[in-house]
Amino acid sequence: MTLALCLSLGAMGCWDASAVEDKDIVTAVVVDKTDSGYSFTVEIASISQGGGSQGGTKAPESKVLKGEGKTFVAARESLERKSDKLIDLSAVQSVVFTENMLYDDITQYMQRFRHNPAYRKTVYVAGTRVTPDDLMKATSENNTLVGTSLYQTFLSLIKNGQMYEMTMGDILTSLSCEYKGYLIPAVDLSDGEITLIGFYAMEGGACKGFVPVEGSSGIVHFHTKSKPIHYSVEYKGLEAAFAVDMKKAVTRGEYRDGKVRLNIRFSGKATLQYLSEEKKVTDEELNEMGETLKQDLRERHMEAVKTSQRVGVDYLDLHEAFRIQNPDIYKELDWSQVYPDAEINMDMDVEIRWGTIDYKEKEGE
Amino acid sequence: MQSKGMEAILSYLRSLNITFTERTVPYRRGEMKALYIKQIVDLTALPDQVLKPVVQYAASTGKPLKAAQVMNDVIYAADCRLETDTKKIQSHILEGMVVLLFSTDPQYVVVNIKKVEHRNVSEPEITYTVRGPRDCFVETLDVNLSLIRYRLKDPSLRVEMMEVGKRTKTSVAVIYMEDIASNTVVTEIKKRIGGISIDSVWGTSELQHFLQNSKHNLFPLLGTTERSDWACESIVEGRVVILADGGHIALIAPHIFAESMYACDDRYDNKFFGLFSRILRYMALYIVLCPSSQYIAIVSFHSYILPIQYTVLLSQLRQNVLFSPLIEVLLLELLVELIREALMRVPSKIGTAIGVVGAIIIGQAATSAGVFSPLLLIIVSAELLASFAIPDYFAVHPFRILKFLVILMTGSMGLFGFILALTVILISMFSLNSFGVPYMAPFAPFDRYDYRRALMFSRAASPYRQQYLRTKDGTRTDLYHENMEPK
Amino acid sequence: MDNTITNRQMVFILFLTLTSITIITIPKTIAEKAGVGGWATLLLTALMFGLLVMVIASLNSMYRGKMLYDYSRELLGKAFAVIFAVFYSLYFLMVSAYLCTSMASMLKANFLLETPLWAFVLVSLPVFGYVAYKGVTNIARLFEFYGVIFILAMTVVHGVMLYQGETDNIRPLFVPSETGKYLAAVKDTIIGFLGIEVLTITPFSLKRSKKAPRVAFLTLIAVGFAYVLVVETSIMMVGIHEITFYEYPLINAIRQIVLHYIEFLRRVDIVYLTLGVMGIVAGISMVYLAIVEYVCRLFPRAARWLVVVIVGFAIFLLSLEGFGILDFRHIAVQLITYGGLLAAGVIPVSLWIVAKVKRHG
Repeated sequence: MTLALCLSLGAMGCWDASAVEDKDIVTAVVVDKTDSGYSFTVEIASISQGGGSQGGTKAPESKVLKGEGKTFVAARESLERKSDKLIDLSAVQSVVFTENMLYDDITQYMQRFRHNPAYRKTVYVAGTRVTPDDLMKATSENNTLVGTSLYQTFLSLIKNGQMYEMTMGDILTSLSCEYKGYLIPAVDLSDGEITLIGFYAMEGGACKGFVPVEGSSGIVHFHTKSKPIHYSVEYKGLEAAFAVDMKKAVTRGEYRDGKVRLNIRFSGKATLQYLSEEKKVTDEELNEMGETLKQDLRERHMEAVKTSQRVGVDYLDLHEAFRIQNPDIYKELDWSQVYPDAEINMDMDVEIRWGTIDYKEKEGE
Repeated sequence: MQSKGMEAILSYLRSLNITFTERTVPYRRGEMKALYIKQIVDLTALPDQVLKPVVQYAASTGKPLKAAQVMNDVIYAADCRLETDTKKIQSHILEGMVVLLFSTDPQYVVVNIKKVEHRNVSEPEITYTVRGPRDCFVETLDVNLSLIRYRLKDPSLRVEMMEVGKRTKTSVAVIYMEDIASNTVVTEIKKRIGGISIDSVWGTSELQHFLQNSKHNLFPLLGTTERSDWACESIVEGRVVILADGGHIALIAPHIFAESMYACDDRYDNKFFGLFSRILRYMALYIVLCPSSQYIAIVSFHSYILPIQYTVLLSQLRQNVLFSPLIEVLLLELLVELIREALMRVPSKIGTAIGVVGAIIIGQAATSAGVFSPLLLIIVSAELLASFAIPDYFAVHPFRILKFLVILMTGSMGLFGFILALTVILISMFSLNSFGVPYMAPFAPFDRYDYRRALMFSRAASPYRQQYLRTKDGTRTDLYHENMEPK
Repeated sequence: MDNTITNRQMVFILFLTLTSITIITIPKTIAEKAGVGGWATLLLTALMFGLLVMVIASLNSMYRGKMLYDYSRELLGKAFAVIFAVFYSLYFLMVSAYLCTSMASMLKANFLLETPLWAFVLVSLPVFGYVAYKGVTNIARLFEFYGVIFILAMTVVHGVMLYQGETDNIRPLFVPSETGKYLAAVKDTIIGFLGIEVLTITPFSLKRSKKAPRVAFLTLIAVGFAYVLVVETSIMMVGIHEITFYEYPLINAIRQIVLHYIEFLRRVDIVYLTLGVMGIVAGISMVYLAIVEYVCRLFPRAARWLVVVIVGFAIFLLSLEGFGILDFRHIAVQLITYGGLLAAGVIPVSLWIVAKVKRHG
């Protein structure tokens, strides 16, 4: 035991010991492709001087550093030269790629990301058309860290059911598969706030197209069981709002006559929330409203599939279902070639229900 | 004995310079000498119970006095005996006995009317209880034995008296239930006490060192208590209790680590609350040992564990701190140990002043001066409080020392060093045994019944004694009760 | 205090020793060699080694209170006993060097990036040696304690991974056309089940040792299922292709866990650094003990503490050599696989046959 103590004292070169206040805590990274190479723009949480004895209760300020270089390594070195402390990437909450970067190739950067154990694999990722400097400047006026703001935005979108979780780890998983199709959320600044405007459709490390947010409803249900989403339908001059709770799509795939055929089945529950007028409706009328809703949902989800076929990227992970059911055939196919021409059938099995507000017309009324 | 023999004895005793008192009572054709040390003899009882009756009897009878006759028919003392070995007279006098020598009889009488100033039975100072009895042991062995005797009226209760210390001749009582306690343990204890060869032993606290398995052991392998009810409970469970003159702490053997987490109130409270309290104590033990080293691990090595807002907050708190986390922790821990020691030794009148000085030094001033961070102060204060939550005060001492080992190893290798240090501590504990009982029973080796009892005790639901004690009689009841769970 | 172990302690010894380092690397092995049906490979290997561990446990319960050296001396004579002791000592030395280098590499790659490899070994060897010095019974108690914590932590973490992971990543569960691949992958998973040979130094106690072979078999099956859980959940989190990029895929898989509601714990792999490393520490200590026990049998007059120190130096030097060799771990795995089959298979089975023949005349 004494020996252990002595040896541990002797081994106290403490190579890895580095106090937290001696590090630059990076909260967001923006990766850009420039004319001369690449650039990293990082947001670093500033530790204000006055916070020491009283404890920090105010929101931390931030500073922005930029490093540029011909390669990623050179850009990182440039960044380190500008920093007065060790750059600590373990607190990064969001990584943003500029549109230039996405349309170029992010594979090399993802390889860098993979090998770095400090980086959390659960970091959220986004793409943007805004320049890195504007992105960092705009949100800091609200005294919120950009990284935190992005993180919170994505978290609330996921909770609202408008987005599914897409992390850097998920991108790495997609990149390593035989078929590499995935979406990266696109953000923009609207009145100084970070707003989701759509998705970049990625195949491998490069962007193949853009899916605006208006045309992207339904994408979520292909990936996960989401939170209930609200839809409204027109029925005989009445607007009926439903809360639709959908399970994850179940896809059956087969290969017939040289063509991939996919049968996608959605199931869920739709609960009537409210009507636009003070009116009672019958069971038959509710069912008719439900049929209209199902049709509407079917169109939206088909539109999501058609868009992905049009863009040529299977970001809905339909290839996974096909692979699971036909592993031997899948090995022989080039999914990026067969997917755009795949035949898609869709079933919408949504159970319509009355909600908590009583709109039901009673017999005799 | 003949008068010449008595004179020879007296001359020998006087030559030793013991400073004893001689009181002569003449009788027909002889005399009686009462020898005693007046400081440790009841000077009220001596004339009333011994001298006056002898004088009156000697005056009324015309015959020479015999020791047996005097003992049986004359003196009123309750505790007296006949002896013949003249070599023991000296030790009897030194023990506080009154020795009655007769010039016409080789036998002599030893009368026990010892009166030594001692504390009254008082409330516990170390192990306070809310609902339990509050009579505690004192420094006098006879008083302590009376506290046990009035609780345990079982005929199989054995009290074996032994003596240790060549100069102090300290009386030691080994107490156990003959039909419950393991013979192996009793024999071993008596063997170890008998094998003590030292000039002085002042009470059980010193005796403890001689009874441990190893002289270099950090962990206490004998239990201690100042409470008589706890000692009696231990005896009934099958343990051996050791009491000694001059000490108010009883030793209990065998002793395991889990027993350090038992408090007296657990027996009197609801069993679920007892369970809750014991879990809290284990958490307190964890708090005593680990948080300051985990502070080092997080601040120096693994700051990525925390969310961003806490990491930034931590940086802010440490912004003005002069020292590295390891040095900061070591300094503060040493300072707190210093204050703890000072508070124990300080006279009560200036105790408050020390407390205030300590609070001012460590609190506001040290933080403002950039010596410590506020977070570390909270952590170390919590450790200090937690150490008082563990019922057995002496059981915390090893962990107060081992904490520094854990801090140093964490300071060198982060959480990996922490695990290595924990492994060293655990294996040391697992390899200990107290009179053949594994110290970490019932956790390892595991026993389901003992494990349940270690966490949750209820007299009504515990029909068996603890299995690891390997007692002769493992059952506490022969009646079936609906709450009893069969083994 | 006798130097024996109980059945319960045997379970934890087997579990922690087998899973020690392999649990981190086996998802990659399975993903590369067997693919999504790797669970079948693991269960098959578990079954095979379950039978072998029954043989060792059966020998130990036939010769209660004795280790392999003692009963091989009775069965085959002193010469064979000495040969076995030398073989096992060298084999365990190789294993301990492999485990130490793997542990150091894993910690450096994932948690303590700047610390040199030799520092890990230098600081941890005295601890392993101290544990080994305490003997079989005490180390078995440590395993009893660590085992519970490890299994609980493993259950919780992998339960979370099961919930958060993507089931599509592990489907289809079995592809009939790849059955040959699953069978061929068995040889690559042998290293995950080597460790049963530590039972050759753990004499069984008199109580309930007749049940020991059955308990040992069930333990191996449980280890097989544990590996299946680890592999499948890791693949669910990371993806079967991505996992092949990592040297220590389990840690990367754990890193993918997100616990939104446990605010103070962003990086769940820290749980592995604490609770998981307990398993590694216990496993390496056991192997260290094995070397010490065999060497003490070979040199009965040597002081135990001296043997512990010398063995420690030997492991340290071998580990230093290992750091210098580029493909050391690959070479070590090969050697240990062949040596392990001898140590866990051929020798115990031979002794068992001889014992049975002698018993039944």
